[in-house]
Amino acid sequence: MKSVVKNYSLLVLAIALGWIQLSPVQRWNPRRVPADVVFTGDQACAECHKKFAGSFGPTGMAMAMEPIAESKVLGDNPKLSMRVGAYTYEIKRNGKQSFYSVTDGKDTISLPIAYAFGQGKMGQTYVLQRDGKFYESLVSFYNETKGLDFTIGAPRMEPASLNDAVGRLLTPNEVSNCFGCHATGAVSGSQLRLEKFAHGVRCESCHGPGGGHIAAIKDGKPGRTSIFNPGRLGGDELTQQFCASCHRGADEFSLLKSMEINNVRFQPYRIFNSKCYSDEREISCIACHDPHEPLKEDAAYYDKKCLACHSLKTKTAARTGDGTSCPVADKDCTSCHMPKIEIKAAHFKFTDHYIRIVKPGEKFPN
Amino acid sequence: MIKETTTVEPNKSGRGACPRSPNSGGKPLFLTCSLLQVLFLLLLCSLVASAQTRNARPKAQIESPETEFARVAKLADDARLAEKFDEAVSLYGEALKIKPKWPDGWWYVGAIFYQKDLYPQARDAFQNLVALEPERGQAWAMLGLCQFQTGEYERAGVSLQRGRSLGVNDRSELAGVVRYHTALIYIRFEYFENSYDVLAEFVRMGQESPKVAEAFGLTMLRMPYLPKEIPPAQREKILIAGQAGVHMAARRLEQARAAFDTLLSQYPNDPNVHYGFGVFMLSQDADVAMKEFKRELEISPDHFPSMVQMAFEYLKRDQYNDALPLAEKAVQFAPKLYAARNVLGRVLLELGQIDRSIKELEEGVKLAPSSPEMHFALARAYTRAGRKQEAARERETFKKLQDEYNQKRQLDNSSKPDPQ
Repeated sequence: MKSVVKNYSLLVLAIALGWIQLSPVQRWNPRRVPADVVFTGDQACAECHKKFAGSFGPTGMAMAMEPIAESKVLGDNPKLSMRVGAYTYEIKRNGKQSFYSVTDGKDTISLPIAYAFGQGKMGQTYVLQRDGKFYESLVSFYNETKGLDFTIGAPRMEPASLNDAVGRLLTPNEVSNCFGCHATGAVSGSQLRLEKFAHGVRCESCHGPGGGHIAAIKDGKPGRTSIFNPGRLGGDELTQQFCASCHRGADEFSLLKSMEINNVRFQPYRIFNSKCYSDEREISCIACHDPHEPLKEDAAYYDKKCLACHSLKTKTAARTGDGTSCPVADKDCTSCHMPKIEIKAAHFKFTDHYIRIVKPGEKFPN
Repeated sequence: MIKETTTVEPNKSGRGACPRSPNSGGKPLFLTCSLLQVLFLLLLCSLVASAQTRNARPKAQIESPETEFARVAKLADDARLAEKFDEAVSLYGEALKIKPKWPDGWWYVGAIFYQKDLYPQARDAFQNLVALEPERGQAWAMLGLCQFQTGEYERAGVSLQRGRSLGVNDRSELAGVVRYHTALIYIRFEYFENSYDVLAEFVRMGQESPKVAEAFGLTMLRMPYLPKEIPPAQREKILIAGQAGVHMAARRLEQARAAFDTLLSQYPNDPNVHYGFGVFMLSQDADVAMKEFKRELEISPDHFPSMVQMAFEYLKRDQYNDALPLAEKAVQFAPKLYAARNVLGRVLLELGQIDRSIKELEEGVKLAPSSPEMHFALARAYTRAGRKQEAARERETFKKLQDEYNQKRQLDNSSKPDPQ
């Protein structure tokens, strides 16, 4: 009897702490939106969750795609140009529109920029529509140079023809993948729905459709049972499946194995290689990053995350007891153990999430 | 036909062989030897002339075994360089009687026998060589080629793979011949995914040829024939499928699509045609691919590769309950197929059946110990089960295999001709 009471108490405690969901909410995958899903939009969420709605706006995820009419990158850089062999590229602002054009001196192809992918912190790539097909722009904007350069992954050579110079024809899968991660509600089932979607990652991208949740609250039912909360997932599932659905995990091995240094951009894949990787939430994405707030760039901010497991030289292990103490330093852990790796083609240094003891002069551990 | 692609000349540089590559249009390599090799040959000839003076000593003199070996070995080398191969083999045989652990002697004997189409004798010579030098990749490769010619395909597969893993020098002509025959062995034993990967190496290195395309055709259509066994009535279909495969491997999507369209229009009800097109479409339009796999299953209800592909796609779409019966059926039909174990294990993991998942994935790792994907999946299953040490072990293996893959890839890339 005593053990039954004890078990019951633990259950109540677990529920109270949100470890267990009272009734199963359908597991949500940001990249796999069922065909019949209807999103309510951020404003409905903001009515109750003002704090999150306010802090989420300036995050990189929220700005993963810019509406052309309000594009800060295109507005701040009204005329961009680049020359590749015989071809001259120009991106020019005209009112609320921007035009991407390429000419070989005789003929010119000029297209309105349909979609701008990326917040501009590193850069921005454009998706163009031509004859009903989608193309990834051959050149992209890079913040470091405030100018154009080849899009990452594009062959860095003179195109064979003016048509090729526009950019790369995207397959239907690629189009779905682009919009599936950079927008909300643009892909329904396996169909593209570009007549109505929200730019960037919105509340319902990660939490699923909120209609049922709002209705439950209005009916006086507990809200947490009617909305998906990725924060309740186990560490591995959260990192390697949920976040990795866009940030890419190691199960995309066939793709990642060909990426070489470019795969430093794919944090779930990188962290999987770390010695301290486990199913614990202490090593999952949300242990260090609050998805509702802009990315913290100060190395000191992350120290306490590391010290949650690793003790300082002078102290005993803080929590799990199995984290070793660093013999070299007691602050700015990430500056050594998660080095910034420069991808020259991206004009940007990415934090390598493969946590390790970096040896002097070592090659990038792919 | 195969023999034509594997003729071996003794390599005048001392080690290695000069095979004809499937890409060299049947032109013997010794005709294309570099100027450097010719100069080296001339130098050797002059050395031979001076040595003959030294060799002309009184017969009555009793020689030590060492001296006798050196003398006979020298005569054997001279005969070989003079292309008197019968005499050379006889002399190498004499030298090997004196010193049976002479690796170069076995190499030349094997290479000469191979050149003369005496494959059992060549095989025995290379067998002796690999016993002496088990880490010599070229020796294993030559042994594998001999075993291929004597019809010992299973052994040939083992030897060729060992040769490739020890290193054959990816830039050499021999590497091309070994790669081609490795692909043929995979085709014969119905490891079509492996044969595709091996054949794709030719495309990556810019070495496309009719023979490579033919092997691609057999791979795409999953026909376990050697080229010489292809029924004449199937040749046209294989040719079209081969073109599709070559373009697909080269990522020339429009040309590949055109070849597949031709294949589909001419052979709409033949096995594996829809499957091949489905695989091609999977990375471009998964919905189209799924329709093709379903069509393939209508034509061939036991088509386990389609089941595996569909299960993987359903897994990707989080449709675990749709994936499960396909994955289970695929394992039932092909219990030795590690990809089937992989997808079943991963689906079970998502459905919370962790113990069963681990069992399937452990089986998959046993079947494919060098597959990074298998170790990755097992690492995740152990992680979910809280088996930290085993998870860490699998992650380490995953990383090690990835490193090996990357090193090989860098080697392949460095072997590519410079784009001009």
